[in-house]
Amino acid sequence: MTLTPTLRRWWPAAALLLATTVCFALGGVLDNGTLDLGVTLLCYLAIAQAWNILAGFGGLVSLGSAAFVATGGYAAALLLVHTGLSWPLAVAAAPVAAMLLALLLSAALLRLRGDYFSIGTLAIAIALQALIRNWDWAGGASGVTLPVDAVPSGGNLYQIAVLVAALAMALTLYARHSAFGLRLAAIRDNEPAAAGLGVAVRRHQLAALLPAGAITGLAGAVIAFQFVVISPDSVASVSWSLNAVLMAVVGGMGTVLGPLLGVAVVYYGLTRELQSQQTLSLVIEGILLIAIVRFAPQGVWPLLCRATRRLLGPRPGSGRPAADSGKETETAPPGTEPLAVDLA
Amino acid sequence: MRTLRPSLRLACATVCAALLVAGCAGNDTSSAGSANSTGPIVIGTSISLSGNTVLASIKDGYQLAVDKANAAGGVTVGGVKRKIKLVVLDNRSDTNTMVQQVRSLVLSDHAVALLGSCCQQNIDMQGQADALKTPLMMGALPVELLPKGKGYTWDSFQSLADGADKFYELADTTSTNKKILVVTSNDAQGKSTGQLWAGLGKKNGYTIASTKAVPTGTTDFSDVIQSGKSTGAQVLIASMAPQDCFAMWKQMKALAYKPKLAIGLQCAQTPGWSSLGTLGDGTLVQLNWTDSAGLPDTQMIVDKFAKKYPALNDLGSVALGYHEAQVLMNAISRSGDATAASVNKALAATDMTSALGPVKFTANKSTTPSFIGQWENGRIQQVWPAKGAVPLKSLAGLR
Repeated sequence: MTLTPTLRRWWPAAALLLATTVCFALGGVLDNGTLDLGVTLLCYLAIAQAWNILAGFGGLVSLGSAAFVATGGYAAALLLVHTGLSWPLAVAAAPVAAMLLALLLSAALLRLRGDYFSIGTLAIAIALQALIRNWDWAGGASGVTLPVDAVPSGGNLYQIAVLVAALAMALTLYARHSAFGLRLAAIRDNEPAAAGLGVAVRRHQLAALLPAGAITGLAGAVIAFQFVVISPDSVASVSWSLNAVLMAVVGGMGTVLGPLLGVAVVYYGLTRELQSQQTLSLVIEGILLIAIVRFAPQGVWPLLCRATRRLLGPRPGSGRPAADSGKETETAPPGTEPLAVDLA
Repeated sequence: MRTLRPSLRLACATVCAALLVAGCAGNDTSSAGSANSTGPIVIGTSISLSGNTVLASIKDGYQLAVDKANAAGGVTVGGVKRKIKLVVLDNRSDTNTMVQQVRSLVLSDHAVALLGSCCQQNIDMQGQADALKTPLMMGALPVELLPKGKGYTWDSFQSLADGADKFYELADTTSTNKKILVVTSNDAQGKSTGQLWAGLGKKNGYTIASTKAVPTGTTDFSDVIQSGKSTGAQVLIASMAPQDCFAMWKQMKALAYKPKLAIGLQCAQTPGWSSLGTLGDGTLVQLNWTDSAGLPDTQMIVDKFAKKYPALNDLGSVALGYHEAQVLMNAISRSGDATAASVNKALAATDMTSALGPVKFTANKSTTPSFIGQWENGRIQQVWPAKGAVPLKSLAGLR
């Protein structure tokens, strides 16, 4: 089956729109337990995708997602508690606050390379947690309690989470299929070469950092509404950063659907389903990570794509060129692979 | 999208609109709970069983009470005997995990009520109880520290003020210069504890030489210790997480700070204190239970758990868990229908005697008796009140 160039170009966006619409509509029919689980999964998806844009496409391996979750969560919560703003305005303020943080930190962070960037972002997350812990106006270590009746819950909160996750997915699709994404990948793969070809390195990295921060902050606001009580130990916990890395790496960093799979495997499969056996869950998580790093360093999703193409691809002797080596997925820059792995 | 025919576009738009309308319609699906049935009644807890804090003894207390009730055929609700199903989830000492687990217990497992964890996590859990409109019966949080919530959290535990009064009565029996160094964690529990104990110290004729609040996880206490030494404080009141107290006690020894009396609130109550060896000897603790106070069910708890938990404070934690679950199940049996709302109402009307003594709530709090114990050779012995107590010894570990 061949697709027209227009369909070929737009079908991922159409699929995302359809999936978003279906998920949004489910907010009216699912039970409270599933809706709550959905909110958690969608928030993790948004955070993991934001990390994926930065690290998977831009090569900026961040350990600071927690700082943006906390900034978004606290911005929304403090505005609600101290100014009495309505929740939509509080939600709108969350990405703005997170972007401001990203902008503020970019001057220092974007000068760092490789491991130094990662350590720098981790230090910021830890420092921000300590700052909040000692900030009395933000409730100090005991945190802030949101007015339960003034924040969305149940189906409404789920639908907000759907929109946030959809926005994160849309940004990832853009990074995957746009010229901007190609330039970002060029910086990731060989920064001096990209700079030599005229790519504005700092400007492109900033252009990845700002929306990634905004999406993470937006997810932080949704998490604050879900948790109702937020404290430095909850929304500013470094575990948000670690989970973002784990989910994107397990699923497949630098792909569109990898983090989605990672969230399903890590949160739903390991954390949630094995929550009555936490030790076992931790052990499996560790083994899984080691196995992935050893046997599928690109993550589970690219592995599944290769396996599928191997199963569906031409048989030996069919006379058609073999398309099942998986090499394209590993080496080709984003946007240049065949349609079969278009969402990868 | 120019390749799509207008009719196909219209169809797509209609489907999207229909789905959106369905989505915006809201839902009336609510937790079915275990009300109005004859099946088991689910109660749940997200408790720290690994990580920084291990509360296995409290969990054993919960299980003991539930097993005892189920062995008797269950709890009588509206004239029908119903079994209790206790769902215990380990939150690995992580607040995020705790919040997510509590929500899943109520929304997915349909727990009609919750049992608490410990300390700061209990405060974080209160918000979830309020948001989910599900009663939370807790201990392990001194009654003064329970924040004002929306009425779904019930705290039956000892009072800091009661413990402080007993400590100062005890301190008066030994010779000190009455100068106090107060060191607490900078979280809500630590700060409130510090203020309350310092205030009562002044009332009892003591001088607050220095007050320090440190973040949880502090490893360098040299400035705190220096402040104790420079002010000559001979009484030390510490309210911190166990690992922080461990670090501070070791550094006190290294820097030769030798107070005459030291009490470790929260930290010295944990079983890990015995791992300090002789360094921990002489440290005082506030206890919620002793085996010599004549409290109900003492012998049963000792018989069942003395081998597993030789230390008095661990047995006290078993008693605490047993007490919490007893109070909750008593309310469930009086609720008539075992729904969250009616259990919450029943908790307000609690008037019973549990393993920690009489329980009757006022403003969602019920104070249980306090005792002062002292570590000696890896064990705690009651040193105050005098009835059933052994004589106070010196703070040998730091000398």
